Amino acid sequence: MELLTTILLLLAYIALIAVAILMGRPSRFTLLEHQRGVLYRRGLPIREVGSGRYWVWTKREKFFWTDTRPIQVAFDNQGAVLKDGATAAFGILGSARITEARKAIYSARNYNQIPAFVFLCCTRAALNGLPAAQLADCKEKLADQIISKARSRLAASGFELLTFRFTQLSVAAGPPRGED
Amino acid sequence: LVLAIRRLREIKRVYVPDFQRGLRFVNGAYVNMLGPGSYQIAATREHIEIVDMRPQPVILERTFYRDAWNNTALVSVGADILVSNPHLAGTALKDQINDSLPIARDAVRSALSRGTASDDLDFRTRAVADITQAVNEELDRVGMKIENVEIVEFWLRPIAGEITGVAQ
Repeated sequence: MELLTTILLLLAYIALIAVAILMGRPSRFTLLEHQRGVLYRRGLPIREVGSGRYWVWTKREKFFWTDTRPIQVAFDNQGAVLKDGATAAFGILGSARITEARKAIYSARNYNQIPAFVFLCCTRAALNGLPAAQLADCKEKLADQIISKARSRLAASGFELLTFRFTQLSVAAGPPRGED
Repeated sequence: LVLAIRRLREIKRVYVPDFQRGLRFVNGAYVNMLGPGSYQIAATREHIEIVDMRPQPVILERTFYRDAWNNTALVSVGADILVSNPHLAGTALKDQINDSLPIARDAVRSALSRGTASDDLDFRTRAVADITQAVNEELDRVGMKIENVEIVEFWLRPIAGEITGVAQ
């Protein structure tokens, strides 16, 4: 009987060592309530998870997590060329947050820069299609147009647009100066 | 036993997710590229350099250029820069994104300088295709490429006759 117990214990040890060699040791990973993560197994995404405590096998699995707190974007004293060649001085203030961790992780190397990039692109493109004479009249309409464009672009990258507004918008000067 | 423990200490684990690639160097020489997975390496002999394959959105702001008719124009271009050849990009560039920007800006300027700038929509579509082709030709040499090019800002300085209204 004792011999049988010893053999069973030995087999259990061998099994444990084999598991440790193949899968590593189990390790705990905690995601806070403002974090969302993606569990990877053998380098491939398995599932997206919310806050909580999870076990992972260190050799096979890994968590990549994102912070879902709002990312603030603020630009002051930026210049954009208007349709008629005048320069508009603008400032913007906006925020966005990650809603889909997997999309956000794949969207860019540094996905925290996505909201700033989208806000700047949409603002410059909208201003570029407008002559200086119309700038003062359609500030609200312009902001709505930018919000609508930015919202769909951010959603494609796993973000949700929270706020956007102009902090400054005026016709600054004549045409931009080239390298004549 | 001492040797075995020492050997075990040398072993290091590298995790490569599917949005990265690992360049494996043994004794300083490139051996192969690792796809997604978990790898065990002997840290004293082997080294794995991680290359991120995800795009990075960038804006090439306010590039002034002169077109084929010597008109001054200004263009701002938004695009995604990403790695096309991990080995080349990992060994040719220290900072893959920031080192690609001057190459891309120069290629944008020379691509647009060859054509005639105009305010119509057709020009923008054509310019996007020209920019993509020219920049990719240049970046291909360092294992990078650009995608999703968009012209976010464009301005063409009107010729003198248009400003003053005087017929030439």
